[in-house]
Amino acid sequence: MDVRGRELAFERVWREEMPRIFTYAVRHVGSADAHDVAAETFTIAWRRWDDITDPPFAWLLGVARHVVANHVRTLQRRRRLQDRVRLLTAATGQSGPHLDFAGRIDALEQLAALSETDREALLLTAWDGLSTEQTATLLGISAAAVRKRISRARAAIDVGHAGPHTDIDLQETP
Amino acid sequence: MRAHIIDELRPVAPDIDPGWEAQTMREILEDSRRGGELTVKRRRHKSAQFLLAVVAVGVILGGLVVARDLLPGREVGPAGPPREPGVASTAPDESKAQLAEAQLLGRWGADPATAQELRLPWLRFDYDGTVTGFDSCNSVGGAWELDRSARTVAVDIRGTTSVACPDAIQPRLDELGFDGTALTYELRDGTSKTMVAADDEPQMYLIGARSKLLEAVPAPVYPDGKSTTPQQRAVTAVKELMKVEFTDGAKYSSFWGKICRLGDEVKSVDSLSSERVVLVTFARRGGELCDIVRGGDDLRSQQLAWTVVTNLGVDDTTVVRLVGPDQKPLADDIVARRFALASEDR
Repeated sequence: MDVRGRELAFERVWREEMPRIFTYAVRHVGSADAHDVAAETFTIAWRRWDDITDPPFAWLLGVARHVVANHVRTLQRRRRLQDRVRLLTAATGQSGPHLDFAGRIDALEQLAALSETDREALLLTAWDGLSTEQTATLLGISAAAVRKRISRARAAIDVGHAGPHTDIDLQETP
Repeated sequence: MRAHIIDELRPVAPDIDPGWEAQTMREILEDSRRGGELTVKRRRHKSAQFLLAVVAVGVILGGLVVARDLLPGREVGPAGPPREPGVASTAPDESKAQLAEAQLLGRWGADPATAQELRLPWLRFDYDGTVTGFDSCNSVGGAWELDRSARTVAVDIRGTTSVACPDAIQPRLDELGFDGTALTYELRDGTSKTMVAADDEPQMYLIGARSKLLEAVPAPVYPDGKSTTPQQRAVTAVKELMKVEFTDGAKYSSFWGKICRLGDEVKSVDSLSSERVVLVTFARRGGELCDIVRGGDDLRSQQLAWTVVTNLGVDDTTVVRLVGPDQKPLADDIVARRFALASEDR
């Protein structure tokens, strides 16, 4: 592919995938720093264009994950629970508009309280849309291990999330 | 069936400033067209200047070190203006080959074990911008800088032993050229000499500031003649890897260091060929306070996995198992993954 062809392909991938990479970055570093993470991710992607996969999203997410890890706060202490709740709350501000406030906060607190590994497996599939296999490749673990983490994460949230949904579910039993 | 609440909370892509998008994409492509450093401007200024404080030039072959200068703060970063006029400010000599920094790192010249006897020089260029070596008469230490054209290396000798030597054989090591395979230098009588790169040095994997991924870097060890077998090289490399601290903005960094390293001593690195497992035994436990975000933790593991399999020369699918003095695992088993490498080369 000539240079112009590569540039056009890069622009297409940028248009199609950048919003998802940006969204991923927002929940990890907040919306202000998400610009930096997205820019660095695509800078690396352009340098390593020959390595990029088709479809590119899982590959880009792998790069973004490393960029997040290397970012300004890389070696600072892991954020406190409250900080994680704040990030997750900000990232989900526009989603689930029908959910009541208390139920939403309750779920996000449960999500933030999960182990890093379980939360990541859950969100890579539920929010970023990766398949179990893609998640397994990204994390360097088996698909069975990914399923186990997701299952454990969902169960933990269900148990902790003793809000209105639990009651409603029970009442909806025919 | 109700959707799980986490599915319902899936984030909606936020509105992104189209001006930022257009500018950032343009800068990535334009910088690449210029063939220069990709320095995408960030939305907010980050003071990620490549400043390292004083570089301690503490090397030294058991001899008395005479600091010729007070060691000033040294800037480690992209090749900048030369510190000494006339050293690296000359117009690029197009006849000389270009030297990549990754090529330069490591030891060049004579075998340190026999250099003194043979009165031959050697130099080792380390990832942190320091240089150590032997000028055929005295041990030397200082700082190096690749010039803008990547054709000459300026060496700023800041410390040396003080053995009296005949002038005739004294090499001028303050400016080295590159002829495509060897570094070139001159003796004071004008004779041109060369030194070639050593290829048997322990390698460790650090995180490149530009690539954000792992890059192989020669371990900054004084050649003591002990790291001759793959196992010994692996032990040396892992020991050195454990020492590298994370420094925001440095060219090369590491996620191990004081807080995260596993003990102070690496007892052994043993390849259990029957099981395709390498056992890395630490003499003491450590890293209990280490707390890195998940992605960083992965890279940290990969640093160690690649350092071990590369120095041992074993297949990169080999499992690397870390154990403490009681032989109990210190962490999950690791397998080197190519995804973590900045380059596919090993």
